[in-house]
Amino acid sequence: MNQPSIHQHPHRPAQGGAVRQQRRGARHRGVSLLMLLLCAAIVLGACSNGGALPSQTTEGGEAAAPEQSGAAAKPVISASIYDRGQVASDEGTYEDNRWTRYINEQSGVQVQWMPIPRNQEADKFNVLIASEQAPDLMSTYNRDFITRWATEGAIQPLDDYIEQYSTSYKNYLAEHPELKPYLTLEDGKMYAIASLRPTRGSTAVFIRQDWLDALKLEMPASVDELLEVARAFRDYKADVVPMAMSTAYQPIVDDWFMARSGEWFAEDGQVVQSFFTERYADAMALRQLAYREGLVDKEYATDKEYSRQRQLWTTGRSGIYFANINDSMLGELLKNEPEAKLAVLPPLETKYGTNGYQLEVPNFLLTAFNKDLADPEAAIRFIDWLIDGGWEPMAFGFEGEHYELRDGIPVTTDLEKWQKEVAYGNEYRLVHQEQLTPDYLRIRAGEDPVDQAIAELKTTIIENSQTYAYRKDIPYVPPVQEYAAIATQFEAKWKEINVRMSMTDTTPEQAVAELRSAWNSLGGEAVTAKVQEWYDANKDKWS
Amino acid sequence: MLEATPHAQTGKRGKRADKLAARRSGLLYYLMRDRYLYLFLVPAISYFFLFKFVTLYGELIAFKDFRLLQGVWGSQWVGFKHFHILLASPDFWQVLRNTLLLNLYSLAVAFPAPIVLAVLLNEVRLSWFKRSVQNMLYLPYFISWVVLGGIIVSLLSPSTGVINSLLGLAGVEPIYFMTDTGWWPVVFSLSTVWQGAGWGTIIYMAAIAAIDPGLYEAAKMDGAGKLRQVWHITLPGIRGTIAILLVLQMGKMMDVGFEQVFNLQNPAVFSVADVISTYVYRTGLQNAQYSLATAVGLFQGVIGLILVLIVNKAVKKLGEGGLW
Amino acid sequence: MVRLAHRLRSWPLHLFLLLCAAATIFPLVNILAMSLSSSRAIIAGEVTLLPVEFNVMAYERLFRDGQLLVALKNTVFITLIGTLLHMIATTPAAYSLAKRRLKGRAVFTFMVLFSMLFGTGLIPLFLLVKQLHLINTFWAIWLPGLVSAYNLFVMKSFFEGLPPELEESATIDGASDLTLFFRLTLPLSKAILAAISLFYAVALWNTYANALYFISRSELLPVTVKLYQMLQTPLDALIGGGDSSLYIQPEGLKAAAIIITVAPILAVYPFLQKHFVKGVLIGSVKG
Repeated sequence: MNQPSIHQHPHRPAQGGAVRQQRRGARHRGVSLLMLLLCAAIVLGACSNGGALPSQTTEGGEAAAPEQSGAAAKPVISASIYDRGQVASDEGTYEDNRWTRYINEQSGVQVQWMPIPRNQEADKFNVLIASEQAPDLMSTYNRDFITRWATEGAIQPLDDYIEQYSTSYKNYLAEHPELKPYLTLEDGKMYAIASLRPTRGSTAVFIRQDWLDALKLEMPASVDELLEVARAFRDYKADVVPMAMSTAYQPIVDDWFMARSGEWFAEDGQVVQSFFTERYADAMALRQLAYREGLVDKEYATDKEYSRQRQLWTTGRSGIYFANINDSMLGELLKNEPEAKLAVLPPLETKYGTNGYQLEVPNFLLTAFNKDLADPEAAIRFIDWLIDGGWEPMAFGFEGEHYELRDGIPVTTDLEKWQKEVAYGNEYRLVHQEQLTPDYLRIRAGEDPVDQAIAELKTTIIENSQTYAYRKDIPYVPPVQEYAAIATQFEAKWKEINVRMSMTDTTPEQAVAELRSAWNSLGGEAVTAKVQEWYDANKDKWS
Repeated sequence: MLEATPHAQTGKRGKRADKLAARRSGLLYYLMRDRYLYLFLVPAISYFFLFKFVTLYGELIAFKDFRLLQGVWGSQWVGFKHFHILLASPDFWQVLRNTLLLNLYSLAVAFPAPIVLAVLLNEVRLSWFKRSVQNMLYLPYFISWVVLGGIIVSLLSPSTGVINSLLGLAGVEPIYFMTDTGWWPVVFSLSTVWQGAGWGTIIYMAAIAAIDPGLYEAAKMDGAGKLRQVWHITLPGIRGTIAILLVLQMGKMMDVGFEQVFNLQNPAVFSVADVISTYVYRTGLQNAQYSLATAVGLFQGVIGLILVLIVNKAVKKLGEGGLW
Repeated sequence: MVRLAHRLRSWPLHLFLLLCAAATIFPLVNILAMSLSSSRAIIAGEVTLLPVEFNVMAYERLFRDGQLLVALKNTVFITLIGTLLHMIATTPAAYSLAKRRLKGRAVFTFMVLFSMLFGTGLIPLFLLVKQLHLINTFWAIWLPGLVSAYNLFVMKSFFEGLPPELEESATIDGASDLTLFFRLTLPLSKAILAAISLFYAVALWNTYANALYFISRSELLPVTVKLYQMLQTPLDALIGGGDSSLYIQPEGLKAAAIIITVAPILAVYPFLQKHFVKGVLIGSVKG
């Protein structure tokens, strides 16, 4: 593009011949650009499909030619799978790896997997449904999706299929009746398949037993005693913030008072939101007190990733940690301070009684059947095979290669190998029977003392979850359209009011008044009436 | 081969043009005369037509009760129902106000910043210094707000933040900036500068590079000092660029970047920190209420269009080239 | 002596710019340090400007299984070809729209403006991309964003700012628009071409949403999507599967991911910078 002639003497008319040459040059350039474009297009066309035939791209649930030669045509179904980017490139891809091949060989069914990005599943599923490309089996952890898909007519009921075709899963369901209500929607039909989650324990409060011992304190049994302990911790050492939190802090405090934010309760046959029970005011008052007395970090409002909290806990500046059963910060602390001893708080007593810790819903991954599912029998066969034992290698690997049996429980021998070859296989277990029993946990923890300690903690949590009753008047979010329409807007409001209230001098009564006025301004009164209607119609189903 | 391109209006060419005009009339004449220009437009216009106009039917969702399986055409028509819901929602006005205000603050602070920086950078004689500084200034642009937000929060922490330590040296009590409804918009505006000013200098530097260096030499010979040179040469030289960028910015007035707000806001300051994009995220998109989200998008687009047209007119009155 | 005096006088300017540069480089230095520090130190908040307990584990972990390299290769390809495509579509169009004599100019311009303000819905776009059989190809990333209205307008404005005398003298010889464009306008517009190319390149490099929706085959994913996936803490499906410490993401992973995405751009930009240096052109129409 360097044209010295024009650059330096633009005002001198170029000679005719030179112009002609330049014009030819321009045309040449134009042509060469076009050629370049054409070449690029060809190269791309070849590259991006990897030379694959159109039928091999993952589009929809059409039957493709069976991959095994000589195999009698096995039925083919398609299924969604969460893509977490965990399949190493020498293992293959989410569509084709040792586990997909294992499934195709062993299950009697061929499955084509469609990866769905875990963090963007809502939109991805929506576009797939809208363009009629959704796979035969659609799996999600979010029950709201199942409800919505059913309303949209994208999925179909599966009671009949189970009745007709299923053996193992049907038995499994009979053995675990607690699953049924969570798989059934308002019309009484079952729309999803799921197995039990490994444990229903979720939230827990951890405490530094070594601090309690040093201060000669008893394990607190009530909320007031906990506050005393916290105050003692605060004065115990310099720079201590007694209580560290995670997302579990607010729910746990709410749960002590049986008034979890956002839940509906039924009192004397009337439905009422947790916020408007008298107990909620006490929960808010407690959080305010904790803030004012410096029992929690003063900057928790801006600590979105809870990084400050984790810092406090793992560097040993906190004595009490509100968290979840899976929180990895426990291990971090034990690595930093091996002499630390941890214990799990039992459910605490308030003047309203003692509430257990929140139980997660019993179901785990939910799998729905696409309305266009051509071969329901094949789908059921796959599920049956999975629940029957097909799931095991995808959780543990193969004996000898990845684990050895001790007392009948697999213990991973080669962690690296397991992580590379088996970890991602967990995704393919749409249903499974892995249960975290105390023995299971202890033995699987292996030799490492840190893992052992954590396994003990988890055991306690699970035992707690099975022993103490947790008050839950209404098992799941009322599927009332009017409520769903304002629920998230209201959520922003009550979060704001809670945070602001704990940091200022607003009295609990004032805060509740603010909550009520926010609720009403969103049309809350009418919504409450609707929920009441729904409750009256359905309350006998789950007693 | 002779080109029969009757371009300029001079002499022989012009006469030939008139002859051609006499022969073919109207559209065909212009198509022939400017055939390369139209050719140049083909890829872009095809793109806009296909990807932007053909897909406009999707905006109809705003006037329907969209159901995935019924598609756009099959879903039921509900007219302005969603707009009514939106405008009747008590939070919407607050959210709208916040969007406008935050954008105005940004306009006041973050729009001039890159201009100032570009001009200053231009005055630096040491080329290695200029290049290194430039390379560093644009860095935050590449870092996502998730990270930047976290850094800002820890910088402004009342207990461990640098800013408050400095304030402490001056004897001032620590301020919890991020939860203060008065300070938060300030932090927001400054963070916009921090992230984007360096990147914004690129376009202004390109514009400054196009200014005739001879003008500077002439001015220096006339005895003009640095400041005079900047005022009389540099700034007027990039007036056109400033004008066009201002007009384009107007189109975005109804839209505050989701990532930035989402990562800087917290429940204590929702009253000033919630904007249309975060509001829609919570209510519209999270519940897959595409109809509502589309309605909001339409609303934003219409306001944006009006603003662009107004400012464009104003800018042209001031003598600059507008969008057209 | 004059130069020294000059330099001394302009030290406030230099100082101010230095402070700005320090403020803007700080986050990157911080992140780089974190990517090379131990998990423990990061959680404990000890890392500011220098790595604490130096290790390259985070990078090892990310590159270990080879997926990331494939993704990087994809991103480079997407960016290079894409920028070329975008520029080929945008630059001539901007040139055309800058010519006042173009009939229909106002209409086209308004069309572009309109498209800038009213975005495309996800579902119609998806249906269109599907109908064009672009799913799982890179075209699904290049085509929906082929021309950025913003960039088009900026470039158009730049072309409008070129002195008309330049063209007039060349057209006297009968040069066509084609010749003018390639021989005259383009060489004079290096600065704006470099700037807009950079804008497109960066946008392509950071492409995320289009890849997420339109590409499901993992081997075609660009680096942004790949990294985001790899950073997801896999809690849901992996409760109780043995040693829980396996699922602790080293804190430095996020930081390393950012460095990997940002480093290539930082490497390229200085080379484009020389086009923004003053005095590259137009000074040639004199007297």
